[in-house]
Amino acid sequence: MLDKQVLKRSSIHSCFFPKNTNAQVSDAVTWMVATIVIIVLLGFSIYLTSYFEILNKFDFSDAGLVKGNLAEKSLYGYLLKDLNGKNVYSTLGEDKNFTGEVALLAVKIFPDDELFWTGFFGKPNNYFGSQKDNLYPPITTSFYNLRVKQYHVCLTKSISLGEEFKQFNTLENVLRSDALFRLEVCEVND
Amino acid sequence: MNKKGSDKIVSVYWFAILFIIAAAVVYMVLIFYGKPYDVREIESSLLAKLVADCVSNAGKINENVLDGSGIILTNENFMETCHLNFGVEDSFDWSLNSEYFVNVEFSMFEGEFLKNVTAGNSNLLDFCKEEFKSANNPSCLEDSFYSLDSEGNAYKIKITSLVRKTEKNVG
Repeated sequence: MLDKQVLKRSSIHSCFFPKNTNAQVSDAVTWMVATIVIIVLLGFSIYLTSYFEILNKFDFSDAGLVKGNLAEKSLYGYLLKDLNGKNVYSTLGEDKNFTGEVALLAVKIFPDDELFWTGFFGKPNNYFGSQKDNLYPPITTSFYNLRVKQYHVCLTKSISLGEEFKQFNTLENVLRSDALFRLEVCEVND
Repeated sequence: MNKKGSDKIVSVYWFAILFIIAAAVVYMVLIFYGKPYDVREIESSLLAKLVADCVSNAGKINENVLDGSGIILTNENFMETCHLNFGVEDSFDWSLNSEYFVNVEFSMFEGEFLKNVTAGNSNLLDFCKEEFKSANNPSCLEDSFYSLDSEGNAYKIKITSLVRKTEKNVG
């Protein structure tokens, strides 16, 4: 029984490792090729890993605003400022017009027109031009919304002016209204 | 052919391959996760926001910062008034010098300078200069906002916040 096993093992072994020298050379070539294939595969894996490492590296400057982060505070101060016995909030709500002294004060408070836009929602004005963020905001009376759009990171703050806004419950009505005053702060990320 | 000899060579070969594969896997993990995330810019932004919230709320300067006698916020009471804590973990000798600096500059809107209030490591302030701004240096953020006092006078409040922590954020 034992002899048979030894004989069988020896025949298997001689099948893989025959005494012929040519076959030994062939074996060595096989091992070398296998080694090279393994190393190439590993090298490719390392290359892929280093490629995806760039994608994995999250740029925190894209996560939110850095400059202009305090603009929301300026907006509240601006709306509370008294001009000719009436604050800006009331003036805008009654006149429905972003012009004159009210607009000039906004230009002084938000001087960087690359960064800021203020005015009535959906209406370009002579002081800040067109809105930076063309996407429609969610409909709430007051909201805080951070949106990443292409290479822009925009912080938007909209303030309803007066009771009129409360009856608007659809997007079309909001867009038709003059009652939504808006601040946009948009940074361009390289 | 010597059977024992060839077996040993094959075993050594497999161990070598095993070692190479293991080393490659470790290397790939290090490439992918080895570099730290640089959160200092966000951290300095949060610090500035925290201080701004302390100074002004809903468009008005807070009473614990400005009262009838003027600006009552000082270097001595700044940390306590604004609930700031610049404590950091005890590594890289961080506990010797503060890793943070914050400066609040009060001035009238389009008017004269009123007061500076600071806290933290003032040596970091140089890194706000343009020539020192780089990813390897402490992160500096300068931002300002408009606010009113109780009588409706307008102020410009400029906040400068710096975070060092270079060792843990720069890869």
